[in-house]
Amino acid sequence: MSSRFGLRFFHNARQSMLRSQQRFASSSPAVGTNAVPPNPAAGNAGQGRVAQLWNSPVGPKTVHFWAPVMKWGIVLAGVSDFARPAESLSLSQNLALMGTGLIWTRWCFVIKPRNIFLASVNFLLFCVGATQTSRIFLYHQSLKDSTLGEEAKKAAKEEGHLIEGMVKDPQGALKRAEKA
Amino acid sequence: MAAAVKALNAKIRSNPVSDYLCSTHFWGPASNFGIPLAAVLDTQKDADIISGRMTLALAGYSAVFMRYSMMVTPKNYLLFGCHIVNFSAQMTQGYRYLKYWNFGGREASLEAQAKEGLGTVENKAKEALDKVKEQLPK
Repeated sequence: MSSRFGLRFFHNARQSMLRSQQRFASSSPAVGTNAVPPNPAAGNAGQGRVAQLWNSPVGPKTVHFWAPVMKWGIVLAGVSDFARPAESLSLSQNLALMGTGLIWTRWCFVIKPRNIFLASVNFLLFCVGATQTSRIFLYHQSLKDSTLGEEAKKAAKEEGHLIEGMVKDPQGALKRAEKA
Repeated sequence: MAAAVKALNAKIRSNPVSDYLCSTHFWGPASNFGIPLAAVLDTQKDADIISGRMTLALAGYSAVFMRYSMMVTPKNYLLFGCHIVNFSAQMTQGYRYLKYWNFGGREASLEAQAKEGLGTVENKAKEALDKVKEQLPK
């Protein structure tokens, strides 16, 4: 589904590029023999299409292409972190990734135009965050042999204390950050 | 029910402030603030929970999204601000990560832990000795 959306997008971009090129060609007849035909180069349709994609307004030369690519980078980094032991994972970071993935997945369906491609990235981000968070909780649970609810409450309390400490004593917080 | 929802929606859309607060232009970037907040909280914890790859990916992601937020229509200044904060937070964590693994921070912290452990053992030994002394007949 996402590839169909992408193809439709590029197809539309290509159409608009063709139209604008034709308009330019027809409005300047004095250019004559050097007028560039809509599909340049060796007349090979494949090569022309590649050139169109390369020059597309949402192509690799623009940030609209690289923004979702960077988000995929986060998903891949999260997947590579599956190999790290559970005790050296950051709970707050993975919770944040899980939350942002969930919210952005929903919003990608609500905005106009619907961006299924971006929704898929964010859904995977949610899955990665959820996996890591459950790994952390299960690890703590196995250490202390308590329930998931108790662990969640304890984690929330610890983070709350951290925030309180940082707000009350920013200098101390800075020192602690430098030390570790 | 549907009429009540419609009436509420009309009320929300009529006021520009509430319209913005109930829009995706606000909640998308607002939810993204969780990431820099998590990074700031993590500066207070041990450096060995920092994932180098994730920090690098998040820094690159924020750098690109700072530009992306200015290139979409309408420009999203909240998203821009969120990613400036996140970029700085990830750079901080990246500095701590490099210091820990590459520039001697790990050795220093292990040394400090060992000294602390030694101090605890000494204290416990002293306490035990005091207790024994108390029990001895005078």
